[in-house]
Amino acid sequence: MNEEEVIRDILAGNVNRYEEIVKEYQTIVANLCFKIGGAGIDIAEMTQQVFVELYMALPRFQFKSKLSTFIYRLTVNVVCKEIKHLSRWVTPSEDIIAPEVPSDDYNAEQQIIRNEQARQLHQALGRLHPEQRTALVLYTFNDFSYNDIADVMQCSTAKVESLIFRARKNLKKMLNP
Amino acid sequence: MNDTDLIQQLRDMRYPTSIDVVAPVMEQVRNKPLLVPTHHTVNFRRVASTVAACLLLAVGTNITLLYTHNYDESKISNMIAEVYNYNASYADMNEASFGLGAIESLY
Repeated sequence: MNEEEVIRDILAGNVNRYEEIVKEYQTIVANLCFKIGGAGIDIAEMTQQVFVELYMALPRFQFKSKLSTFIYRLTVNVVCKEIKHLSRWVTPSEDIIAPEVPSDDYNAEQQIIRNEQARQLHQALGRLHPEQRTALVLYTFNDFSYNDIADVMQCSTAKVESLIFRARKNLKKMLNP
Repeated sequence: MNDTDLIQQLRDMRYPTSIDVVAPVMEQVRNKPLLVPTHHTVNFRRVASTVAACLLLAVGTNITLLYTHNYDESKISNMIAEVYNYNASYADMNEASFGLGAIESLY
């Protein structure tokens, strides 16, 4: 998909082409919402909101950065706003949705152990400071560089480095008490 | 869990349910007109000079109206003092009187 051509077409009035952008990015946006917002938010609702806000923000897109960066920044903003509204980052309850990690590399027992680890990790992620969690999630997301993360979070690269360092340290402390 | 494993687990983490928001999103955006900005550059210096010119014209008109319809030197002096943002010094007031003399000479 030639993103610039699609966006110019949408801005010219061909709204139907927006479907292409939604199809391309909806899974990525849902995953990002899930990792940053946790199970305390309605992921489908949040993803929908991100794409409606993205549509309204398209005229402001200047083609200077990648569309993906623009979308991630918007997603982070929308999720953070929602979490602030709900006054919680995540519900670290026992019935939290365990993220499935389907893989042929593990046998059934290993898969169960990994899923349990993933569930614990998700809970621990929810206890991190919002900024630390966002930085760490973005770091592990699509191989973002520190500069990309700084761009999305609109802060300095040094701050991103510090946030990721502290997030990893805190996570390890929570997972290996 | 070591550091590498931690990062790998975070990478592998996925939202467990498949998602399809195309239909509801398209339904919403079809009813929202996009406000596409035109790319005119604003020349702030030109805007500022136009505003200043309009202001001067308005003040000048007021002074002229006062002079022609209801001549009162103190009122006009006050108005000029207001134009000087309530900080008219003695010198400014002299200037104002000089200005009034000039207006007077026109008539």
